[in-house]
Amino acid sequence: MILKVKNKKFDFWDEFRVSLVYDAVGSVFSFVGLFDSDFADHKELFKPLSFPNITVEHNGQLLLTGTILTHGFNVSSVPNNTSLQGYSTPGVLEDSQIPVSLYPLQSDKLTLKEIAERLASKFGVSVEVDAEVNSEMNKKFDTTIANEGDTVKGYLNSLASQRNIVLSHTAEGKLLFTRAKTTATPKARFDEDAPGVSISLKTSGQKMSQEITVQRQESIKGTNAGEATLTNPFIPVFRSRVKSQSSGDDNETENAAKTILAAQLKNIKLKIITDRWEWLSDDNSEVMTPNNIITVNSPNNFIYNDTRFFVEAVELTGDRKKETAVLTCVLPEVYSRETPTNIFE
Amino acid sequence: MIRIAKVISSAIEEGLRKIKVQRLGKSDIQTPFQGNPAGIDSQPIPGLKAIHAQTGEKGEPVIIGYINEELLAADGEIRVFSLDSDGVLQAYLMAKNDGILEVNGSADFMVRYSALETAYDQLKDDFDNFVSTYNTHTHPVPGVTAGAASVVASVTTATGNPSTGDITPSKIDNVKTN
Repeated sequence: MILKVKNKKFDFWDEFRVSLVYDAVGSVFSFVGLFDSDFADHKELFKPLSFPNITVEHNGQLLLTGTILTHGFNVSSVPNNTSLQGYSTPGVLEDSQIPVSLYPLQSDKLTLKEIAERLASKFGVSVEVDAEVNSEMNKKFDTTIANEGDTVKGYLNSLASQRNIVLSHTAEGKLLFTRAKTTATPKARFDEDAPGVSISLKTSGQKMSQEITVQRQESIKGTNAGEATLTNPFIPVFRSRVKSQSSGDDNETENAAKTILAAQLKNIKLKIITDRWEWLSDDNSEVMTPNNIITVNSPNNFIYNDTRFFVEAVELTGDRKKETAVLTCVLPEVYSRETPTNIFE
Repeated sequence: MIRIAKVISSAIEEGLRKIKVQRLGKSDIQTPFQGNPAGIDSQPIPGLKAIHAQTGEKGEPVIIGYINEELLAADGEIRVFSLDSDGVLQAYLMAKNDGILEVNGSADFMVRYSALETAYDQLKDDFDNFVSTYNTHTHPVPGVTAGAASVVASVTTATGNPSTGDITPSKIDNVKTN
């Protein structure tokens, strides 16, 4: 794993961790290594609160472009390691509230793309739009109003989620508006008896409901109060969830219910730990990344049939001796918002 | 969240009133719709303090009221008024807690048209009767015998009566004006 600052390579790390997350604007990284206080390049890299821009690469593949936020020093009579932590460039949008220089908080007749570019550019973040969501990104909102105190990411996410658009980031450090590739061909297959692979499944029934209802208030102009109810096919006992729709019109009430169902499906979580970073497929040189489909078969995890999972996050960790990847996977319907079939029946 | 905002301007859009307000700081300008009590159609003057409230829908706040100044109503009273652009009182209607309704003032009384008409008609009738009496009356001529040839004269017997017209019933004791 190589960390680069201004094209200078640093690869002396004793430990490193990169956590790539699909539905986040900031994937995080941490590196631990020995700081040489006399070495000029180290001074540049380790200077506290300098927010240097970095890239993280592995075998020539760019994994992340971001910023170092945290430096941790620890000195004693023996040499001690220093840690660096940060996140990908758009991560600043999650930490920062909408600055007053970008007020008013109300936008009239602007597209999501225009709003996003206006807000992100202030932080030096570029916006990239997947072709699949291009038309929704260029559709105008009549009026939108951010709450004071909203983070840039929070506000953009509230607008994007109305249109089933996911906020993510590219390896190049751009803010990405996209939609999950849930119908893609599986990138790899994981069986529980494969060497170097450990699979675990956790379902949290307490956070799931059988009946999900969304209601919306009467709008001042035009649309009517709406209500939509969906049934979660995984829950055989009556458990109910009722929520208010806070944006969009009454035609979008069912979509809002689907969003809640999708969020609840995140409580079916599959974790795969492998002893390598590359896909276990024909193309072994490519590092595993989120937004890919895999096939899993693991009877001891109650997955008796080949089942498609969506890779939501990949955590790559390593030291001088070994490399480990942890894949966090969910059902593809979490992102497609379609009603799933119960994989446990 | 409810905030106090300052009115910048107002406009009617598709029959609904939008109030342009300055909310937080210097540049948080928003244009929420105005909510009014049922049947009340009013528009604030610029500079008035408005009460801006969020609703259950993001992006659809409303103005639910205003902080009016120079208020006069006492317990149980209500006053409806209009202002010019400088905030100077132009017209008002005030229902007071002593049963008086003031319309633009309290120096004089309002009148009932019907009662006034009745009194006027009475006065007119009385006057017409008097005129009629006046027109038919004659004067006695001293030395002339009534009924003698070539002399027409009589002794006046009809007299006019005072008018009974009375506008008192037209006075409205509990509605006052200028």
